[in-house]
Amino acid sequence: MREVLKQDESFDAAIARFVGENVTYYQTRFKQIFSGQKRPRPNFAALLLGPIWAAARGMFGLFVVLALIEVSLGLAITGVASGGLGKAELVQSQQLQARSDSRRDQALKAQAAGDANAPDLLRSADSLAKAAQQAKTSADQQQRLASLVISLCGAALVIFRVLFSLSADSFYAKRFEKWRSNRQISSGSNIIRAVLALLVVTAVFFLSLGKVNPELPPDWLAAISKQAEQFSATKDFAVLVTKSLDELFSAITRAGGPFFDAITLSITSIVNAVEYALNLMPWPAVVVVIVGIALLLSGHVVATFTALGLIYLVAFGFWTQSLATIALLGTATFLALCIGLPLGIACGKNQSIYRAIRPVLDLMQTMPAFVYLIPIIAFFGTGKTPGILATIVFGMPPVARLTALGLQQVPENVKEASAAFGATPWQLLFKVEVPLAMPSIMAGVNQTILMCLSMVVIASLIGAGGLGEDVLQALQYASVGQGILAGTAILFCAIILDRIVQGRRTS
Amino acid sequence: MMNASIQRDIAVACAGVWKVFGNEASAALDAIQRHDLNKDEVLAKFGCVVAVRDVSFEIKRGEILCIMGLSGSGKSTLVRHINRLIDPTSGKILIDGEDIGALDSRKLRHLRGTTFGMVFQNFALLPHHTVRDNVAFGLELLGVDKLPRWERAQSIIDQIGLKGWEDRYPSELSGGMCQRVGIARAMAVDPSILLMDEPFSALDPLIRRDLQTLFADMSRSLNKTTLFITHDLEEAFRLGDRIAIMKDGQIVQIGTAAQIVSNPADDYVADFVSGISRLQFLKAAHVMEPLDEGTTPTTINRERALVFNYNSTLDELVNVAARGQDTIFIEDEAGMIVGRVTKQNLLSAIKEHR
Repeated sequence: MREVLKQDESFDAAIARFVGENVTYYQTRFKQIFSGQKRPRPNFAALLLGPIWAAARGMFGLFVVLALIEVSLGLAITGVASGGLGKAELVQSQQLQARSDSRRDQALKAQAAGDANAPDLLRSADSLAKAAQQAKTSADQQQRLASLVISLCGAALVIFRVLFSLSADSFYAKRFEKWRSNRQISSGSNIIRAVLALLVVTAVFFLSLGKVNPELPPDWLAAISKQAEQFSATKDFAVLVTKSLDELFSAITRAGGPFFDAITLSITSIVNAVEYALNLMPWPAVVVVIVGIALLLSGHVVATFTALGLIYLVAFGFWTQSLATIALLGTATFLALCIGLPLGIACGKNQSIYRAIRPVLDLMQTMPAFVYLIPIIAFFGTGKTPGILATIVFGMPPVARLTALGLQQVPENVKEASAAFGATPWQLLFKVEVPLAMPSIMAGVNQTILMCLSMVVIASLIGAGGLGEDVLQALQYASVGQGILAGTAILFCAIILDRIVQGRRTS
Repeated sequence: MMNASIQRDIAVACAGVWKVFGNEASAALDAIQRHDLNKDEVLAKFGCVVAVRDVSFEIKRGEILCIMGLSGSGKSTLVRHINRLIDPTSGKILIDGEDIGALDSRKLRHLRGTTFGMVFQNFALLPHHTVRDNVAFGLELLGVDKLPRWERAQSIIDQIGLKGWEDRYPSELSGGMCQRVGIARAMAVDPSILLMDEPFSALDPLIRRDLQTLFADMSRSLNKTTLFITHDLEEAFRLGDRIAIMKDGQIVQIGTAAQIVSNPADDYVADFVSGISRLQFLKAAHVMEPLDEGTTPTTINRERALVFNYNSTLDELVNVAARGQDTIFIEDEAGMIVGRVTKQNLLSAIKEHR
């Protein structure tokens, strides 16, 4: 605070305070840069030290970029110079030659013994010798290339360093501009930072040497690298945790059996009831009812579209499957909204609840469905209920999130006015906050419906049935046509459901 | 101690109200009261902001009190204490003699819904309600049925000049109309106290003047006790029966316009009112010269001389003088001639006070 207030110091004094050392040099340079002088001049400290200079001056981002480039080039040069290039081919060629020689010995012995396979052995030895010769040529070629690579990389290193030293003052001037408004930014030149940077660069360089040429690093360093690689390759720890997780879940399955059965029963009965109701009438009657609802709720455009979509479903023989899908996803969406809306309201009203819930919502959306399908199958078996539960897990977060967001965006002054007129917390919620958050909430409902529908295929994997099954079959037999038709049917179901639920909001 | 009859005349009373914002508010308040810290010291030591600093005032029934202050002076925070949208850190607020700090949340909501009407600078209308439903919002919250509340809203809408706009939404209205809706909404519950938080600050000057007139007429005819917050000194002088000038959370002076202009409490107030023409507050008593020694009141021929009461405004005196009257005699309440005003007196008063 006090640092910022002290801004009346002169320009020269500010630069002096910022650079710490070499004050006069930077004062002239900064003035040249800020007055638009384009002609670059090399900064000798930067030319000499490169990334170390950047680190000493506190520009760590610049240091990382510079160090990465220069260390990579340096490693390449070292590796090539120590004969790393073509080394693998040379070794291969020697091995091949050895095998060819031994084969030839066998062949000669066989010949001497009058064996029938002697010519075969001889031919094999010849081809091995040929391969060895090819590898040798390739190695020679690469070794001849080595000098070229070294000179190119060396030139790149030098040019890069020179270019950097030419622009170093400009980078530093930019830094000075930032520092003027934010005095927290490190200033001056610091030997400790330089030493640390040097240590980092050296360590990275030597630890990476083994990768460019296995013969280069000393034995102890090679041993360390080997240990590190072995550690990352062992899975003992993972196996241990996996086992205990398995045990935990089977324990839950055993202990919660009646509980899970009750959930399965109640959800299955809801879905079956919905499906039964949908199947009660012949398809023309259902089409008329749905189009009628669309007309009432969402106007003639949506109704027309709905009619076309339904006729598509009938015409391509997806009717029964579609009803099953609608029953399944209708139930899933309904349950997702029943959980998501109150959750979203709680999150919108209370920041600490939101902070606690948010990672869970993130997890539900990012965790691949197949991962939570496994415990769900363990708990609930296969069929419709686990399909619905998996769908809820994936579909519920958007409506909770967008409801919370909508509530948070209700203007503070409107809430205050409501309080000033004596609104109770419930009145505030249902007469002010929810109506004002409605657009956001409806966007959440839309997202939830679409997310739920995107789960049909995965749900049908565990026997939930419906249109997803057609897609799955198409996948198994690689039949493109059937896949496209079934996929389109899912799309129509989704759009019809969503447009009817959204109502006339857009008009 | 005030007696019961005076107490009944006091609608709003604030006694020693402090408001400190921050996590360590009470500790900070304690330190302020004990060591008399200023606000920078409080911010540095406790990270707390002192918004209201030991404010006490009273508003009589039917009176309009204007609180005038620049932004950041704590006036908007203060007005929110009156209906306890903000709880004071210390101090008491009495509404009709009742301490509202002691009310439970149900009683407080009832008081807010029935006794107070509040108008906001940024209107704070409900965008999903029509004008009619916005005006009826307070009644809706009180649980009044639709038909009676619509009837009540309609009568207010007619009074405030929004007839024909009842079924429009706030987004279709201009700023001036929105604030009419805001005022109508505050009046609809027929509150006894109006809280106006810079209601006209966001409006352009012409509309502001219209609404000031409309508000002044309504407020006086309906006899509402009003606390009116403004940063506009002219608005305060135009509307307020009394004016309180606030600075850094404190009330530096409270009084009538004439008292403040003729006798500013400190340099800050003096500086504030220096731009205001004092002529409108000058009374005959201020400009007259006492009668000469020896000229007793009885020697003046009351038939031929022009006599004015000593509370007459400068305007009246100038009007008479302009018609050619050289000397105007001034009498006191008892009818005794106590002085006279010549054209010279008038001119020098104008020169001195303009």
